[in-house]
Order: sequence, then C-alpha cells, then structure tokens
Amino acid sequence: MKNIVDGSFFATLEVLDLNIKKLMNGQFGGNHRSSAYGNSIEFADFREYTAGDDLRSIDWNIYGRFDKLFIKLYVDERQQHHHVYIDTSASMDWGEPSKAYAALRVAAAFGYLSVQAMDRVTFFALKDSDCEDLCHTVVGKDAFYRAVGKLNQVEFYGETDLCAAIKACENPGKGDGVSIIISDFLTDSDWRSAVDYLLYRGREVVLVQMLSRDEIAPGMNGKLQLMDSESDGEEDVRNYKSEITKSSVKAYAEALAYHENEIRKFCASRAVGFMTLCSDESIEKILFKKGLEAEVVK
Amino acid sequence: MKFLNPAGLWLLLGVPLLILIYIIKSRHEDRAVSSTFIWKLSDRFMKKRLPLQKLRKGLLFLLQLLMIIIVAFLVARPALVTDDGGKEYIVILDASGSMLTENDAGKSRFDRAVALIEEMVNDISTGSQISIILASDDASYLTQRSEVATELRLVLQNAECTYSGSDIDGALELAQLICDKNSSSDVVVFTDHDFENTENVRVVNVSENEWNMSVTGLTYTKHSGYYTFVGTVVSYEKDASVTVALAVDGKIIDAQLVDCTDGKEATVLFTVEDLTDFEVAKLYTEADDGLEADNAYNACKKVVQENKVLIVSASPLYIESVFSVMSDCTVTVASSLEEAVLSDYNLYIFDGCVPDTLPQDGAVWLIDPNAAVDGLAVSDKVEEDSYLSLAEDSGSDVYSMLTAQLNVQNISISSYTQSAADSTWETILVCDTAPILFTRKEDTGFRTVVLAFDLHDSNLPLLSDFVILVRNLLNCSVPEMLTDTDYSVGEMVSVTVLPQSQQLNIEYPSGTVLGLSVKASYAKFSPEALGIYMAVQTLTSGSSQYVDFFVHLSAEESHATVEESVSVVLAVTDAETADAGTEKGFSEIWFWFVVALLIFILAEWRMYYYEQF
Repeated sequence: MKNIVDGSFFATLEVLDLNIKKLMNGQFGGNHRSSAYGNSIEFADFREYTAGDDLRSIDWNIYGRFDKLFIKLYVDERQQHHHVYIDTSASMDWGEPSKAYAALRVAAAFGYLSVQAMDRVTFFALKDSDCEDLCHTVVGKDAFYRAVGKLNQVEFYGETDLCAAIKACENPGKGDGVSIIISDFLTDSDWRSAVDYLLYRGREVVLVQMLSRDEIAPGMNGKLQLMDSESDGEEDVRNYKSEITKSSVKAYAEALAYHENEIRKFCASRAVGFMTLCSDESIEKILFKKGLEAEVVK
Repeated sequence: MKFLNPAGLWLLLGVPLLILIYIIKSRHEDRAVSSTFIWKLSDRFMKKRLPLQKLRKGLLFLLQLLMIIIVAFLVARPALVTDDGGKEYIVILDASGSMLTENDAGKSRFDRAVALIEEMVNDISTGSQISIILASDDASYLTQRSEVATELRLVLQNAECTYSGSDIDGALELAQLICDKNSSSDVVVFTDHDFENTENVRVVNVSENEWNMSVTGLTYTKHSGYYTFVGTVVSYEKDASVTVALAVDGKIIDAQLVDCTDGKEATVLFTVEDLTDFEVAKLYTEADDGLEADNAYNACKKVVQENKVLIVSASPLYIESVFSVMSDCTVTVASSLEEAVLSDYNLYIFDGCVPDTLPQDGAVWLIDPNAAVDGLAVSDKVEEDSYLSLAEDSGSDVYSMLTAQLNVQNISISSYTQSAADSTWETILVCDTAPILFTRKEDTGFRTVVLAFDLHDSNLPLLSDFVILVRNLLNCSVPEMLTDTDYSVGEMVSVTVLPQSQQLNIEYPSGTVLGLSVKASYAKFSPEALGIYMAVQTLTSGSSQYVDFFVHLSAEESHATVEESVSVVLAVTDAETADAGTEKGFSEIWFWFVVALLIFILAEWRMYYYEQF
C-alpha cells in the first residue's frame, strides 16, 4: 500500500478542526471548552460568594445593584482524547483505490486534526472480536508522524465483529472526546450496540462509511455466483447466487440507499455524526465538502 | 412454399447448437465481491416480476431459436408456388459417337451442345425446372426437374460423350413421362441428327457439316506366301483425296492415295508379299477431319483352332465323310474300341458302341449307343418309320445353337434306340415324344451328345442338314471363344465359355481388366471404348487361350448428319389430367423473412441487451 499521507495532505488540513458539539471533560491544558468552570477569559456564569472564594472574582457592579456578593465564573478549556476505530476486515481491502487506503487516510486526517488542536488521539484496529491499539495515545505532531508509520503497516483481512471489538477496547474513554468508527458497515454484526455503548460512555461518536466505486455502482450482469471476500469457499452461505440483470442492479442501488438511510436515521436519533465516502474521493472533498456538510469538522 | 436452395436448411443444425449453448451456459460464473450484504438486502427490493418477466428467459431462447430458423430459411431461399412464372424444360442431349466430331475451332458437337444448354440454364427464370436426359446407348436422366442452376451446371460439366449410338427414342420416352405430368413442358433435343421440329419438340442441330474421313472396314485373305488386305474408306460432306496407310503388327507396309467421292465408299487393296503370319493389321488415315475416332480400322488375325477327332465305328462312312469337309478337324478312325486310344482328342465319336468309361479330356458323341451311361438308360430298338421334330424350346443357348438353320422336318428314321434320360440331359430332337438327340454338359466341362439312332437307318446322311447338324454339334462341343473379330461400340459381344474354363477376363484397350462369369455357356458384355480388346480364358489345366478382337465406331456414327425422315413427336397430355401442381412458378418471399428477422432481433435486443444493461 502506498503511503497514506504526504506534504499536501497536511497542508490541506491546516485550516480545519474537529467539530465537537458536546462539552467534554477531558484533561487540562487543552483548547476545548468543557462543562467545568475554569480560568479562561470566557465568562460563563455568576455564583453567590462563599467563604474561601477569590476576592478578585467578586463583581462589584452586581454588589452595587443587589447589595449581595457574587463572583464571576469562567469556562474551563480542556484537552480531549479522540479515538479512531478502523475496521480491518477483508471487505475493506477492496476497490481502486482500496477502501483500506482511503480509510487510513481519513483516520490520519482525523488524527492530524486532533493533534493540531492540542488533543490526544488513539488509533484502534478492529479485527475479529478484538480491538488493537495501534500506537498508544498520540500527543503532538511528532508522535503523530510516528503513528502514521504504524498506520501504514495495518493489514486488512478476515472478518470483524464491530460490536464485540469496540466493547473489547480496554480504554474506550469516558466523556472526554470523539470516537470515530471507519467501516463499510456491510455487516450483520450489531454495530448499533457499539455506538450506544460509546454514547453511554459519554463519547461523541462519528461514523464514517467507506465504500468503493464498484460497490456504489456494480457493473456486472449475467448468471453469477458472487463470492464474498470474507467467505470461506464456494459453499459459504455468505455467497450470493443470482442472475444479475438491470432490475437486480436497480434493486441493489435501492438496497444500498436504504442501508445508508437506516444508518443515517440511527445516527440522527442519537446525535451521531455520519458521512458516507467513496474510496476514490479526494481528501479535500471528504473534509471540505462532506465533512463540513456532516458537521464532523469545522 | 418451396425452397430454391434446400442446402441452406443445413443451418438448422444451429438449433441443437443453441440448445447446447444454453445447457452449458446454465452454470453460474464465480465473481468475487467485497461483500454480498447489499446484494442479499436487494432481494427485498426486487420488483415483483410480471409473468412476462418470468418467461423472459424462455422468450429469449424462443426468439433466438426463431432467428436461427429464419436465417436458415433465408439462405434456403423460400419461394411461394404461383401459377405463373416458372416453366419446365426437358433437354435431351445426344451423347453418341458422332457428337465427338469437332469443328475447325476444335470444339466438339457435344461441347457445343453443353454450352448451349448452359446458356439456357442461365437464361431461365427463377422457379423454372429443367430435366436433362442423356441419350447414349441407353437413355438416362442426368437430373430430373431441377431448379438449382448450380446443380444443373455441375451435371453438365460432368456429362460425357460416348462412342455408342444414341437412344433418342428411349430419351423421348423418358421425356414423355415428364410431359404426362406437365403438358406445357418444352422439349429441346440437342443433337447432330436432322430431326424435324414438331409442335412440342424443338430440335437444335449442333452439326456444322464437318468433314469426316472414315475407315469403315479391313479384311484379309491368305494366299500361298502372301496376304491381300482390302479396306474401305468413305469421305463425308465433301470429295477428298486422302492417303491411307496399312501397318501390320505395328510396321507400316504401304500407303495409297485414295480419291473419295462424298458419301461413296472407296476400296483400297494392299498385297503384302512374304507375310506368313501376323496378329494385327491396321488401316488408317491421318486426315485432319472432324472425327478422329473412325480414322483407323484394325483387323485381328483369327486363330483357327485345329480339332482332333476320334471316330470309333465299324462303318464310319457317313460320319467320316462329313468330317472330311470340316477344314478345322483332323480325323482318326478306329473300327473298334480295342483299336482306339481314348486320350488326347478334342472330340470322341462312338458309333454303335459305348466304352466302359467315357473319356474325360474331350467332348463325346454317342451315336446309336448300345449300352447305358451315367444318367441314361437304353433299351430295345423301336422299329418305326417316322420324322423327327424339334423338342420343346427350352430357351437355352445350346438349344438355339444346335437347331440353328436346321430343317428337321425332312429327317426321317426307320428305327431308334429307346432311351430314358434323366433331367440332366437336354432334349433337342424327338421322334414323337421319344428323345432322339439330347445332350448335357459333364462335370468336366465337356459336352456329351447322344444321337439315339443308327445313321444307316435314317435319311439324314443324304441331306444337307447332316452337315449343318454336325457343324452345330461341333460348334457346341468344341466351341470357339469368338466367332468374329470385329465389333462396333455398343454391340453385344458373346464370348463362348470353353470347357474347363476357370476364369474369363476381357482386357480393354486401356489395360483395364473386366472379369466375366464362366457359369453360363456364354459370357456377354457390351464394349464402350474403341480399340483392340483381348479375351483370355484360363483353363483348369493351367493353360490359357487368347483371342484379340477390334471394337470400332459404327458406320452410323461416322456420318450422323444424314437427313433423317424421322420426326420426334411427343403425345400431348390433356391439361386437365396433367398434374396441375407441377405447372408452376415461384415468387421469392425473402423480404418478409428479413422483416421478421429484424423484428426478432429488435425484440431480442430489447429483452436481453436492454434488460442487462
């Protein structure tokens, strides 16, 4: 697989940032507003003075009007910890360019946006029922560049149970960042439970569906036995035998739209970000068009 | 509907081929995809198929089947039978020897006739039928009611002229059979005879009155120390002076300039001194005439076989006297069986006696036998004055040979030996019902003849019929292979099967050998080529006998342009009784098949291509 990033790749991402809608907790020293009150210059609220409060925080104008002591509270800005989950099943290694390549580029993009915003990021490879931490927590650009080297070495094969794999993650985080799941979601596994699990953990979740061009518009016809890339042989039940006609292709397009719509509805019901990408789309189009439309970046 | 090119229907073999393709194609082809998840989901979105769509595959097959059938029909050129347009022609092509006559351009009459017929084939309208009858020695169809020009041309290219005569009458009989079915048929005779045109027969005379010099005969006479050869030559269509030459055994002896008047036979005489014997003499001319086939005539030397005859008789006067005039016989007389040596003779005659064992190496005549032989019992003599008569004609060759030119009514006898012959004997002469002259062929191949009366008790020795009868008996008992040494093409050659003959072959001038059966008394065949033939018989003793004979063109074929008074007429069949279905023409309907084919192609494209993509 060719290198997933190059110089122009980073130049493209300089002006973007991850759009985090919820107020997260996180750790100190970050750039993101949190639900806690802190020492930033951004006013948040008033609170009645209690003993022990800093006298410098008392708003004397309020005291003049109400004859009571109130102190000014300011927003606290914290560092977020984002998680990027990459489906590494065999079905991802498909298309031209492959979905795997595109998925790693998108993962790297999100990683770069994270470190650029002084946040931390961790990349996970989802395989079978396991969740492999590819390069531990990445903080800062230097660490990010090393992480890219790890991403380049990810192999895509076998099958993935998204739900089991994500739940198997040892450190899924708790209310401290965004969890991004990159997959084709062409699976019977209960990925919805995984999303609910992450939401339960207080994470903000973004789903990125990666498809190849021939999955979006299959150009085939005739009497075919379609061999699933994750099947074990000709007799595997995942294979599909049919005579592909124009009607079949039309039904396929409808089914694909239905599937995407179901994901979209699910995501809308849980305020989960979602975008569908094609593996041959440029990173600019992905981030500046689809990412902005889906409000995944800002 | 009829097909003008039925060979096109072979394309219908594409139908089973299509079925085979469908059987082979029914297997699903493997194709790898990333995931079948959406494909399986798509089953829920497949529109409920209309009944027509369910039949789509069957309809596709049906359409492709129809397309193959239509293409096959198109190539086969379908045509509707109509009442007008096509016409029927019957062509009679004379293939006799005279048609080989060439004009100054070197083209024979036969070739010219074939060219004219080919022009006719090219000119006839679609749907017309042509029958071609070849009139050679026998008349036969070359093709019958054919509509296919290519087939007709092929038949004409393969047609060959012969050296035989032309059976125009037989050809007209065949033509009549077609006319009986289609009374409006045109009959055209291509010949070199001056037949008259009639209402329903058109004669095309391809003769250009070419000059022909013909050598019509050659005979020889042996003299003491020399031979004389007499030949006859005829010039047809003009007076001519030509040189004729004589060659004996391949060596040119002499040549003479002969002045010939048109149509008159001229004689030429050659005397060849110091010639003791020869095999073949040839009289020929190298004149540059139209017909080369009759420019030479061969005379094959007839080999006279000397027959050794033994007569055992106490009073051989009559029988010895009659043999004294048979130049081909050498007679030995013995007065009794004791004196006689019964071997090495071609013919044994026992008069009034019968040896204990009949000789096995020659024919046997038993005159007035006094003892029984195998299959024949003799009893007392019957004293009765009566005349002989012919027995019932058995139709055999032997019967006709023995009774040839014989007048038996004058033969009377005063007594005869009563005989009881079994069925192996064939009776020739009878007295009332009693057999008097009977014969049979022995297992050895030689013939035994019984004359059941004493010659002294008959007037036969005083009659000329005695000589005839003895000659007939001699010809039958010690036969010659061939009586003549020249025949014309088509004439039946009858070869006598010699006693003890094992094999009879005829060697053609080309070297081809024809084997004939030796089971009958005669083997017959009809020569078709010109030249010197050789008949060879191999005997059980291992020896062989040969006879050469010459086959020449008949005189009629040398001059075929003589005006014939005969007119060729066909009976006109009543149109109502003629087969109305055969009086027809054809209107080709390929256009509608093309339209149907285009419709099917569009429908197939709509169903297959449009559905697929």
